[in-house]
Amino acid sequence: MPDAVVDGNFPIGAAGLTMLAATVAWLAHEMTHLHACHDCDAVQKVADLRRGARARCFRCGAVLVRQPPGGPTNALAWSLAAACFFILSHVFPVVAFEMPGGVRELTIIAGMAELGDGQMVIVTVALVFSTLIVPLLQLTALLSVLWPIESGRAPHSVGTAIRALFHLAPWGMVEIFLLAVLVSAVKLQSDGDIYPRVGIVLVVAFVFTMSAALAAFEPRQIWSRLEPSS
Amino acid sequence: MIATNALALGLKTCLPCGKLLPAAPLQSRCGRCGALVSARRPGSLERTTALTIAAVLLYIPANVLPIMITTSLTGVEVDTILSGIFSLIDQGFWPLALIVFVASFAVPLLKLGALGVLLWTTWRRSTWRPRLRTRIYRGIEIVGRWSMLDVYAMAVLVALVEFGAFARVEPGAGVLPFGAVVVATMFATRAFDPRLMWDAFAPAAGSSMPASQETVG
Repeated sequence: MPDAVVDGNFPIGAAGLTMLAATVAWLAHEMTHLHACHDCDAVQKVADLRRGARARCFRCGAVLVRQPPGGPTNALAWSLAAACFFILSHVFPVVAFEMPGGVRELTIIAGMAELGDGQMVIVTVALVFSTLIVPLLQLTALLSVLWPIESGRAPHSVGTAIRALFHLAPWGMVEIFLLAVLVSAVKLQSDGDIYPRVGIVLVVAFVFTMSAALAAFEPRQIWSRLEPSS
Repeated sequence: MIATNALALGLKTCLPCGKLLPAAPLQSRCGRCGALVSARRPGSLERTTALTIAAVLLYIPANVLPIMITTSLTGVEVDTILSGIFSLIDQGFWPLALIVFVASFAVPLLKLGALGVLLWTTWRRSTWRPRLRTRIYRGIEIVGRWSMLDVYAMAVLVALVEFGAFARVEPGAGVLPFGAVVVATMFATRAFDPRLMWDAFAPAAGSSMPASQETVG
């Protein structure tokens, strides 16, 4: 029985190369529409979404992809607004006290400094981390991607920003801090005169604009903008 | 519709950016965003179990020890989490008492219970209502952070009181264990991989990552 011919150099040729390229391109296209659910690992095809629509996993119901209505433009607008409110909410006092010597006002930073002086160093560190550092990092990550994209340039390090946002997501707690201020203000009501100041409104504005910015930011939308070929 | 797991196709997902990668090396970098990707979170069940046990143990001092000690002209008042809620009710702040009760008492307890159920069923490779269990997982992921409310409220109160010189408020010994419970359960939720629950349905690939996957690439 004759042996099969073993040929080391399989001739591909120009036509073969074109077909190979076409196959690779088709596979790449299929792959961008193919998703594995992050919660249950089910592989499924996700069609191009309408604006404002979102795709859910057919097996476990997790949200796979969203197409925020305004896209990166809206995300940038919300992020810029959030950045402004973030700065302003730390400039203006949050509460004021009526005291024998007159009215005294307190900013968030001053309050944290007051707290750090006491025995609550660990709690102060947690508070500073979750209400100052995390939001600042989140804003930096958002703006470092969205600002260049909207001004037509390629962002410097999208990967780092997206990874940072993924890992920071559970640790930003400004809204919890806000509720905590409310709870303690109510508890103190009977002890003396305590008034809200404009800063607290700015914190509320920051919480809303920040969550709108994070909701409008969809990494998959950013990638499809940056890799139009696939 | 019959579902196919990505792992069964030899694929894995990059969680931060969603790219599909070959599952072959157990850990590899995503070519798009640079994240370190594994098909299942490494050591998921072991880590989650350890953190949950730690949280359960810390839960006891967190609720028994006082969280706040108030010294005023009328005397010294020692508050635990629960007694703080009752004093809010006594003062007539019902809605606020409800919020604090849910955030500081109900949520940590339910979260520990839920983690226990998720771990128990996943260790046993149970096929019991995976969709419901995945929903529970998503729920504790969203709601868990809110338990920091009491720690922060106490911190803000101390800062305000020091500043306003109303009365003397001191943090109790229960603050740190309570905060630790919240943080430990947050890390536990983060370490848990819900895809392991669905692996119970996959014939070959499972929570014990097949060794063959390693040798493919």
